[in-house]
Amino acid sequence: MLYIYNNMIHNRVKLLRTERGLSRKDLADAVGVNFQTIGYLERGDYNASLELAFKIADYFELPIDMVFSPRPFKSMAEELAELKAKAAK
Amino acid sequence: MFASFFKIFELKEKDLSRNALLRFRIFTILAIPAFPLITLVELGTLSDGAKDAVMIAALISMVFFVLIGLSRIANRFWTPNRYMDEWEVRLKQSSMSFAYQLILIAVVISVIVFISIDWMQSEAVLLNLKANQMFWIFANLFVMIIFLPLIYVIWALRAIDSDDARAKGGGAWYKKPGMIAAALVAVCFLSFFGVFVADAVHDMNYDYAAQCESSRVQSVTNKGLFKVDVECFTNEGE
Repeated sequence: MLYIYNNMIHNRVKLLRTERGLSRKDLADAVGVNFQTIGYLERGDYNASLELAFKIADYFELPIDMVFSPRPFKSMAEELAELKAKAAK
Repeated sequence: MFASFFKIFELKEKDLSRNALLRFRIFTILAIPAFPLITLVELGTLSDGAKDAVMIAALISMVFFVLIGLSRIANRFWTPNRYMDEWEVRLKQSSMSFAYQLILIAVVISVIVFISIDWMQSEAVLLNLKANQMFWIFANLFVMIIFLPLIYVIWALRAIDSDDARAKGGGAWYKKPGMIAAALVAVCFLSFFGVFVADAVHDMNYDYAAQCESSRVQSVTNKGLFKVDVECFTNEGE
């Protein structure tokens, strides 16, 4: 299905960062940017470059599409429900 | 060596806090009139009483101008891109693009105003500008070229901690900061430009009146918005 892009790339950076108990500064140092870049990225005010997106995905050891997506991410509960439904089929 | 030098001006979390940005926004409002006010004083448009008051206001305004110039946000503008991260480079580019657009609009408005006055005056005001008037036009343009990107950054940025404020129901005015910045500059530009144009036209008419210096009688009649009709008479009633 064709998705209409609105210049906004959604991300799970805040979720992943807080889950691992990292500060913005820790993550920023790890991927080689300033703290504010992570701050504006988390808030959706800034779209990361491809290079930074790969660095962040590598840091969290996840595929890039699990961290960044042009579509809004579904909540974990919804995703789990979908997985359960798929498994049941 | 340069890397450690530019690290001194690296942005800190407190530079982008809500309070810091609010403080800088107030500073920009107070700093914008500095150069236009000095220009008005230097052009000699004002009366002696008003001149002193305006000069004091300009100097106070200049203090805020300097304070902004010394801030870490301002100093990121002359940091080479290789010492900045991608967000800073993007912000610098978009702020310069904003400044370019505004200056272009200002130039177009100025040309239209001058052409309109020329049409009403049936004289070319733009070609009759004096050297000091040209100097102050370019001085203001130069300052604006430097200052506009800063205004954009200070007004368009949302503070890192503003999410918490919005959650509490505050910070709604953050929605259109770019528009507020543009409106601020527009108001200042239009008021300054209005006085400047009036001064230029007044000077030009004064020059016409001076043509009668050798004559004994002068008659100056206001005709229309800007038009001043000067008639020179000699003793013979010529």
